[in-house]
Amino acid sequence: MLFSKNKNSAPSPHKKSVARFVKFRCGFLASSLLLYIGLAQGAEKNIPLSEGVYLDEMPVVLSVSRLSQPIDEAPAAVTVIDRQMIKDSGAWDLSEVMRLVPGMYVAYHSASDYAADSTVSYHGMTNAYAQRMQVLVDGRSVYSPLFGGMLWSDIPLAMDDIERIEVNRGPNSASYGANSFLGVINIITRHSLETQGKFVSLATGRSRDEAVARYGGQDGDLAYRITAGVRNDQGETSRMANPLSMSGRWDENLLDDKKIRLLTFRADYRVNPVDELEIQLGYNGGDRQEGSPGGNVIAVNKRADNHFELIHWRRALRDNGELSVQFYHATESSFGSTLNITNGKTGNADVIANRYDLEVQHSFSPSESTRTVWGGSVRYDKTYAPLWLGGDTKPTPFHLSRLFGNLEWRARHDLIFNVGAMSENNSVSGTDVTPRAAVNWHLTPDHTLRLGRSTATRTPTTYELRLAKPYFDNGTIHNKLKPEHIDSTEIGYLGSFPGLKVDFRLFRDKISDLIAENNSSVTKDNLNSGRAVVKGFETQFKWDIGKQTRVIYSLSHTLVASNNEDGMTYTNSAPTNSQSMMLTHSFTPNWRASLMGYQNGETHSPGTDSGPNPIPAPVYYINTSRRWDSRVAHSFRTGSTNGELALVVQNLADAHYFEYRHDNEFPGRTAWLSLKLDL
Amino acid sequence: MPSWRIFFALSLAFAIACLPRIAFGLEGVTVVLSDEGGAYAEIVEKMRATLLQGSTAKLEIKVVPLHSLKEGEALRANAGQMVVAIGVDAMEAVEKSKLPQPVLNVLVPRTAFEKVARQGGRLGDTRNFSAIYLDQPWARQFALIRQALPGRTRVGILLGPSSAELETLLRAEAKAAGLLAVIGKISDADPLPELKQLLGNCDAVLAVPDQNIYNRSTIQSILLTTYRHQVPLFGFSSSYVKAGAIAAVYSLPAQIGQQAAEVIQKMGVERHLPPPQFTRYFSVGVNAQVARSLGLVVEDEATLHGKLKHVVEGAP
Repeated sequence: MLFSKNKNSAPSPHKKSVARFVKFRCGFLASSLLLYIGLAQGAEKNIPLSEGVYLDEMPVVLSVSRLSQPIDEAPAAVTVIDRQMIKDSGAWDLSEVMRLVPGMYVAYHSASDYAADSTVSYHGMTNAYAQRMQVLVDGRSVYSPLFGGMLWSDIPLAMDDIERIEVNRGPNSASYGANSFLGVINIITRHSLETQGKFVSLATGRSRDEAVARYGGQDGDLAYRITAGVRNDQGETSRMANPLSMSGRWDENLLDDKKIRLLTFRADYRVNPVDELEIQLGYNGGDRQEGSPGGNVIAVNKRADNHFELIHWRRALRDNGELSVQFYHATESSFGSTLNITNGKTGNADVIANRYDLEVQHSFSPSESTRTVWGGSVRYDKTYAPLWLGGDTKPTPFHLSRLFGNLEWRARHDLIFNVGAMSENNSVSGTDVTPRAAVNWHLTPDHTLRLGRSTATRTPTTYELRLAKPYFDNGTIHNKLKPEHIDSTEIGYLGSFPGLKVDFRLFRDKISDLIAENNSSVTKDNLNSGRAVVKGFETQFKWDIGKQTRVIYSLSHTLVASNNEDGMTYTNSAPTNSQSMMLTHSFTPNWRASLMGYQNGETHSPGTDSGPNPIPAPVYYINTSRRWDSRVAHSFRTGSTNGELALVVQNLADAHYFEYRHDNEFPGRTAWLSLKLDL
Repeated sequence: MPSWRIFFALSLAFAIACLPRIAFGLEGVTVVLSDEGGAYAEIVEKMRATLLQGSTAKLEIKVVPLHSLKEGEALRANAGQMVVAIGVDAMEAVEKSKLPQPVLNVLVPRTAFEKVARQGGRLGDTRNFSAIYLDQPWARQFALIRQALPGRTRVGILLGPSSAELETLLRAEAKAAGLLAVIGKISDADPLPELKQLLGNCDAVLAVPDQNIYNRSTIQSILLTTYRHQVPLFGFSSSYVKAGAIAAVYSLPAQIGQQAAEVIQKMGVERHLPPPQFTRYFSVGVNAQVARSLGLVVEDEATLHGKLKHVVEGAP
């Protein structure tokens, strides 16, 4: 710094009044003296006084991996959710913002055995774990090694630290590898430099409280932040208001109280103008309830314990090229025991899953009109879960290696071709190559057509493998458990009109080798008997009605056709029609309100269309539901503190509807107050 | 053979008369460098190469890096020489040593030159103490914004205490280019709060070379912030374009060296320096990746350069 801080600060009113006093008393002489000093100081402070400012080498800040691809040039349908949208949505849990993505099926559930959490699955077709979706946080896969899918409330991540979420609607194994099957969710957190200073967020309301504190600091070329949070969430009410059946405990919601303790750290170190090092550490743990209050309970008093460590090195190369190396280790673990109500016996329900992953990626421009990104990665997972893995106390290993590449060719200024593929070898299902090709044609700069074809695989999870093992061992099954396959064709349109942005997608997905593990498929010696064709369309509008008002509306129409072999019912396993709407309005610069509406069509769980006896009605499907949420926020400033006080009301209409299954009634109207302070 | 001798002598006299007067007036150039290597060396190299062509081929060029002078050793230059000072430190040292020779200062910002000239009482003596400014004329910079992003007319500019007095000038220059300057004033060491406010009111940002605002430690958060707000930033050096500015107009060391050599050549003829001038040769840098990511269509560097040349030179 050339000048000290106090030189930069504006003269205080006190100093000004002194100056005025002196000027008044001493008249002309004093005033001309002051003027002279002022001029002299002005000359001293003139800029720039050295050539250094022109010659200094600046760090490469917006390197290729920092820049997001414009959605009309991406080889796939992409929905972006930014910080403001997350805030406006009034989401309590991160998974809720996904309701704003066209075609995304989001359901909260406390119905599963392993975790009470949200299911987020593009085009549905899912059990509780959404194992056909990939989720990455800053390039780190949070896909669970045991059951697949992700445990949203177990991710060591504070919502306030998120910069943006990019959702790839459709398969994309070519870029992200196996399990990027129905879609990919990329969560990008803020750079340490963007979270400088002190920040506090407090929220309290019916059955939920939260406190988050963050400190961001900088020391020369090192910027960092540390975020700590505590969240107590009582989830659903224990008794349903409108149960479908009063018998068999179908009038009770399951246990789902959560205590989430969160601690994350991120450091960005600028080694030199071209090298940057990012280090992240995170922890998410606490008590999590699971199971039903009366029946045999799996994992009473479960305690979650998740953490990760990540190091990412980036080097900017010439001509916007980049070399990056990333390594992370993540542990997903929980500790609890099973309880048999009848005999009082307990068992070990601990789960410890470790993942080690190393990835190298290189991007460069082979010619003026082409760009290439290629790289490879290796991964090692080991999963300890005796309860789920046949009593095996030895961790189950899983190895993976990948080689990938994508070539982007700008054939003309209005025509972009993308061709990419991933070759993946894993210790479960061998080698698979998943290609992808797309062409984007800018009819005009504001109107783009996209034609794409993309493939993906889903690797059988550790749990699925274990389930099939006895059949392999005793020779009932000869055919190996194969990965699932999807082949997706799409036509997309992206239009930009004054104040209006339109995204339209027409798709047809051919899905094969869907894993079915039941008596019927075992008898046929084929555990990959499921097939389905999913087709439909979806659209999203972003309409700015004047400067202060915006509407974001999504509509999705999805039809799943399947032969429903071996009792695996895929038909209607995605809502035929779903809609979401977000209306935001700024009344004044300090008052802002938003209204969200969500409608989900009737949805069935695959393979479980009828409920257990003696209930005659099917319980494994949910009816069409509607929900309205709202948020009113007032921002203010006191001294150097910027604050925002907000009231969020979810389920305004107090609708008692089911999510995921009929033993899962969404809480009625719920309100909470939130206070956020930038100190 | 007297007639032959007379003819020879006359021919020689004629030939000498025909030669540029440089042969008599200017015998050499002493180049004083603020620092060695980098831009300083590039300028010297280009000057040498250009001077080697034509009448100045035999000009003696002596290079004196400032740090090669011993403690207390004064700068010297022979009579018949001129001095080229490269960089502000060199300019100050040359000015302090009160050399009688004409001094051309290059790689110096206009404000720095004016300050040194004023302090040395040489502000009016531009025939003997002149400069090629390092900064680009504002008109050229605003023209770049106008040409690169037609339709984006609100140009946000952050000014700190040391650059605040540019406000009136910038407003006028922007207006002349058909743009509106939206000024944000920083009173604190941290430019971010003001920048965020500014970004709500403008559709492009022009960085001014105020080291208090733009330096290696602030540029990261400034570029990240402007990018998050989807507002492109125009820089003032090629390094800014690499860092993530959408574009910049600047003069490369070789271009400055070329112009300096031309001034020296002319100096030999006119026997005095021209008034301080902006760079005649300049480059336009565009970060196509950043433009693309922001969804902006920006013409290529050569096209923009052509337009800028036209616009600025055509302006009154």
